[in-house]
Amino acid sequence: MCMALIIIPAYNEAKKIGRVLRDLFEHGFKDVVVVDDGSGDVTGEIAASEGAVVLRHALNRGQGAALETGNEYARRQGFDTVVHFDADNQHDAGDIAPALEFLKVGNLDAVLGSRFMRANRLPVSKRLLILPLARLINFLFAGVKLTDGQNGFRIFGAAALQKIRIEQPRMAHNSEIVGSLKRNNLKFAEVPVTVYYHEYGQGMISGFRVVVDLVKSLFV
Amino acid sequence: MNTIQIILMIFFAGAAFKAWQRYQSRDITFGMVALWLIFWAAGAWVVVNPNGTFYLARILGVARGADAVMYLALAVLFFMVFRLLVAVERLKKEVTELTRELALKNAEKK
Repeated sequence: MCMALIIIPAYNEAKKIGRVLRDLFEHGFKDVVVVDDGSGDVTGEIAASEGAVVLRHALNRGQGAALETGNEYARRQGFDTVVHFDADNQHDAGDIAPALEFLKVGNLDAVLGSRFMRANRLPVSKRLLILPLARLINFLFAGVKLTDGQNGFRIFGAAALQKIRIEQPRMAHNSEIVGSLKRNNLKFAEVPVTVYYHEYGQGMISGFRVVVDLVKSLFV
Repeated sequence: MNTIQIILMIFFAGAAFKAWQRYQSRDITFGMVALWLIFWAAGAWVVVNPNGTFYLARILGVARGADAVMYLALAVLFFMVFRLLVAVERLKKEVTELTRELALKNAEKK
């Protein structure tokens, strides 16, 4: 029996986290952990009142650090599969079950969500500039060609969960994870997911910081 | 002694005194304070004997003593910036690990 834990890194998502959690519970997922990454609002309190396990970072350490906290919790609690899911209501809980099935049937170690394998309505600048750049960065730093280099939806099976430690604390973890999957000879594939854009999400400045973090990680 | 020499000597003396104070308050180790005192003393020696750097320049194959000091100072500065960057990154990593461990421990208590 596959024991999957849904991990939601959240920073100041009080307005959306409740809806995201209710949606997950309605889809039958009981094991949900919210990593409240030092939010200044009531994200953690709302998540706890909705019935999720809340791990609270006393300081904001970044999304990558929050995901690794969730992964470590999963290891210690004996889960063999984790699902990384965004807190801002961008993802669709309905995508999780098919992706878990895809992981199992394909005998894969990890599944990465892709918004390009399905007709999603993306902001033009994201579709034409930022995400192609993200794909290029992923290829340069991880040596892997993906249709979507920066998607927060992903699933780790047992081997990936045990072998991968996310070291990049901020947003560069996307490229880092892909590189780690390749280095550890883990089998992975992309799966189509729906992404709803309520706000713009990561912009150019954030993308620039990703590149800075990745270059810095080569030296120190 | 000209004005720049006096300014530099006061600065080096102040910096050496600060290093000594930090050693007395146990902020830095004896090895570290010794290193800093030697560093500032060497700086003071160069300020008092600018021509003394001539020998250093000759050994290094640089035309002027002042140039040799500049090159060495730049190299030392870059190295120290690199060391600082590494230390800051390590500290950030340790803060993250501590934050994570606290979060996990608090969850276990509940």
